[in-house]
Amino acid sequence: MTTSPFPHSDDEMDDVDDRDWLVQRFVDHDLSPQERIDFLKEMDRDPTLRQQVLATEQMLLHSDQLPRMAVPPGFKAEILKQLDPPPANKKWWEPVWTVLFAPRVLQWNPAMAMAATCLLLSMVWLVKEPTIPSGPNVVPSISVMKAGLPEEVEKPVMVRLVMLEPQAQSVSVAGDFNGWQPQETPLERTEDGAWTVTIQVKPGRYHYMFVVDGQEWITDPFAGEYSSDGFGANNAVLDVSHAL
Amino acid sequence: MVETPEHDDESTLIIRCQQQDHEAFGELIDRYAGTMLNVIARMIGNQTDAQDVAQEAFVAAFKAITNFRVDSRFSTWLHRIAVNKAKDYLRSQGRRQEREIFKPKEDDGKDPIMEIADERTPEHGASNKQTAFYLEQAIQKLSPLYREAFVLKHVEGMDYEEMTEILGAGKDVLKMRVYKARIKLSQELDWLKEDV
Repeated sequence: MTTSPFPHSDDEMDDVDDRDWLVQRFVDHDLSPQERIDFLKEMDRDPTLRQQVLATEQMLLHSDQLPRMAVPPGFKAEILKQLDPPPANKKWWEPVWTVLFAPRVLQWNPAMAMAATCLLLSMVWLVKEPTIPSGPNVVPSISVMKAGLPEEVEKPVMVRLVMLEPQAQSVSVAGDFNGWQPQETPLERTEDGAWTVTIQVKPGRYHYMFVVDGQEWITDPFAGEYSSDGFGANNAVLDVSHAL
Repeated sequence: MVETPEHDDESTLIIRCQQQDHEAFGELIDRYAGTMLNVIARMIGNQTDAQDVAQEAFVAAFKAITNFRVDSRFSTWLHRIAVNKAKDYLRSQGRRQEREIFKPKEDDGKDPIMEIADERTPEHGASNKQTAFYLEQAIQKLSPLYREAFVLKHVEGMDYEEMTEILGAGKDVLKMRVYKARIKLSQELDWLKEDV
């Protein structure tokens, strides 16, 4: 019976056997009822297994009780000192203004974007045509939609992204241009250890991050511009109009 | 009941912070400084630098707090910033880390490791203090990915859902890291088996 629910693909722990996995799944209450019964019977028969489980539980108990670092005096004051001074003499309308105009992070996907575009175009149509005229001058909605789109669609531009990460096994890029799906845009390794990809985007500004070995998100160190991601890290910014 | 600022709930404090209220942010620091410091200290393996990194994380959080959505969990958001700052620190150090974390104080001139080792006797097995010391050492030997997963799960007591949001990895991936960390730690503390 294979007891590991995960691929043993990575690293330094090739010596982990199925019994180790079984112990870990037991400790995490991840065994099915039948697996649990079998495991308990086996533990009853095998004192070594019992010892291994108890030692693991004991180690976790100690982990839960490890000494905690105390907050040093002056810790908070030092932080507050580094903050920008609060605005003086607030006007009554400023909190309202803040609520209305504070930047927000909006999550979106292509379906939502298309729906929003249709809604916007419908509103444009309603403004332009507040009443449905009778007679031969009725304009079909499709032509209104066409009128709402630019006559000349901006031509896409090829952009080459480069990342120096010679130790990496894989590098991909996630950004506004691929819906933040790193698997969509893998980079290819060059002989000198750099990773590159050429993407096709329309002129505009795009935020992006590199993803190394499928798990480590890294800001492009050579980006011309950065923007906070709201979580303490920075996204790289690609300004295609400037890149041209 | 008269409600004092001390009793403001977290959402109110956050809204006040979004209006640049430092006093409200001070209250949030009081609530989370301990956890933030301990998570960062164990991730980077250096108590002294952990203070600077934690302060940097709080300042970054205040600057970004207008982006925080009140329907999210503030502690998760804050921990994510802390973890990112700790990773930035590790990158900046080129993964060269000092292993000074949670060493017992050396104010009596005794070698702390020898002092702890002396406490272990055949009659009593390992003392709690000794086990904690060696466990800290073993945690620091874990690779950063296993260490952060283990610390959040078993030292800070988080569930996998919250860890997923903080570490940005899937639940199965995090479980695998926690499992492997536990196996590695059990191997490092193999002598615990003698005490059971």
